[in-house]
Amino acid sequence: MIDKIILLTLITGSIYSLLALGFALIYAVGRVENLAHGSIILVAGYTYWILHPGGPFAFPFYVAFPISIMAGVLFNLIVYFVIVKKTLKDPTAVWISTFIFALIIENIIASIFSYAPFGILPVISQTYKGPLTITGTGLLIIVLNIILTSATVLYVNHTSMGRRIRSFAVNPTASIRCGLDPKPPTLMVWIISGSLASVAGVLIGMFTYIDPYMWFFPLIMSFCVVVLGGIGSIWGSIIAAYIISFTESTVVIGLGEPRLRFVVGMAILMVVLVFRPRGLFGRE
Amino acid sequence: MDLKQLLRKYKYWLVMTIILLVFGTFAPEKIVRTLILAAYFAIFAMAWGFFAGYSGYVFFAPHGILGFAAYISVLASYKGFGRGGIPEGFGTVWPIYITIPLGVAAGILIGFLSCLPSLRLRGSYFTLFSLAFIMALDGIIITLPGTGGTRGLFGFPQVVLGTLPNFYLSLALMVSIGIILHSVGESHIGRILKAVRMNEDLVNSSGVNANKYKFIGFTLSLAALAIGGTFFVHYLGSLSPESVFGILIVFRIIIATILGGLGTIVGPLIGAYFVLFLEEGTRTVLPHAPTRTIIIALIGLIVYILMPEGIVGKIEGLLKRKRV
Repeated sequence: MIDKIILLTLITGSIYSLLALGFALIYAVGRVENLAHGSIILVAGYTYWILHPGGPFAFPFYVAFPISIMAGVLFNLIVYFVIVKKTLKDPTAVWISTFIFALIIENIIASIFSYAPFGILPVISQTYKGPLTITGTGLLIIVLNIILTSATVLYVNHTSMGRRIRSFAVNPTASIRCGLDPKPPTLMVWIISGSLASVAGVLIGMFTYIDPYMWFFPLIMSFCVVVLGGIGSIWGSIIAAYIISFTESTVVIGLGEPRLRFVVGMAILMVVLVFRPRGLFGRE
Repeated sequence: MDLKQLLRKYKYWLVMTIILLVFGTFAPEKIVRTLILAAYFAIFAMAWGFFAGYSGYVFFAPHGILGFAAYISVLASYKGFGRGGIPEGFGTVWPIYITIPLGVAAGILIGFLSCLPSLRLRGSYFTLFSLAFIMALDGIIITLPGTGGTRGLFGFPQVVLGTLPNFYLSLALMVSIGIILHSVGESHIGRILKAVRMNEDLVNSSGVNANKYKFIGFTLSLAALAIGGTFFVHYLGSLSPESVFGILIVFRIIIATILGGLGTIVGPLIGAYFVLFLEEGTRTVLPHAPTRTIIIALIGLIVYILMPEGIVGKIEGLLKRKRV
């Protein structure tokens, strides 16, 4: 049982880490909570389903995958330009608008594809036996997360655009006063966030399945991870993702009731909000 | 305040009540049934819109509260037998004049206790926590034995029998709750909440305890949701997690509020009637439920982006300009 828990922790944690990183970056640069963040999973996931070897168009992986990521990024940019930009002045409006938009996307997907869960063929179908028995998809998730997260961290810490992003994350007003144009870093962050979430979306589909409801739970978990990790801390999000996935996996596998995973997220959130709202490594 | 002043202050409510009363008494059965649903959703929308519009704190789990209150009331008043011979309900068959207050108290309590940690922090924590809350509540209710699981419960007692009596009941509830929320909104509580929406730090720096008023406003909102929820479900006659915790309910509440006017009391009420009748009216033309939802959502979203103060807000603005 321990090996199953460890495996699930690593895999789920990787997914949470990718999603939370994107969510945290968008919040860091614009103080925006994008409640349509989970919908990127739907857009990328269903695009991949249409295009991938098991879907109607049956394009190979190296065609379907990049196009799905681009679709997810495009979607995220649409959310930014059409909705968030118009409602930036009023946080209430941002929450309501992005939430309704996410709901619209769910229903559009449901109209086209129905509510039935769709399976996505894994790109690596072998199972690896070793100290832990892991599927190809599981391994891919863990490896991709390491690659993408490292890339994002390196980008944010070692490029000039990354420095601009960090500047806005620490203090948006001062950054503008110093003469920094918020538009390029904002655009970059929405692109990065869209890419990370799109990858997560395709991988989720490969690992389990995809259905129109699968935007709500990832959105909630992104938020739980960011709060536990601490707003403003990338490493916080990464570590928190695995802490939460570990707790969740232990509860679900230990107690055998998959629906209890929702309670885990909420419980952790409550504990954090009562005792340490700043999170583990938070700045604010 | 004497009776004359009272009537003058709430004259619009009186007029609306009379119009609805007369209309509903002589309308065909199908329309009256929609009117009942609209009245209950008006309660939910007013309760939600009151707190979200005045204080700016968006609560994404109103259906969690109204559903939970309903579950408690139903479970306490009902003893059915579910799968494997496990009895559903609490094993009590208490009368509804006991179970409904019980459900309301339970709804308020659970909403208050779970959302308290996030309410005393900034709005974004509260808003996002409410999302986690509804997901957890849905999972718990489905998993717990004795709640009817995903299939739900039916056959529990009704408050009154018959469409027309239920219509009068729903109308009475809606108008009373509406008037109460309206007066609170006009009082100093409402004013402070509006100030919180504009600049919470400034409210606190001015020596006013914003948290205290947030708690008051939120509790009121919870109470209205719980009252509406219990009566609503007893009217419907059946209860399942999908029917109360499903996203359609919170969707209708939000769209009704933003169409009518976030920040007013009457706005959500009008919005609720609009949304319910729009849904009913398009049911024959657009039988596919997701398509209906998309269209209503798009209407709501576009109106909200172009006119964030809603229809009632716009009218109020025009009237103010005319007076000047």
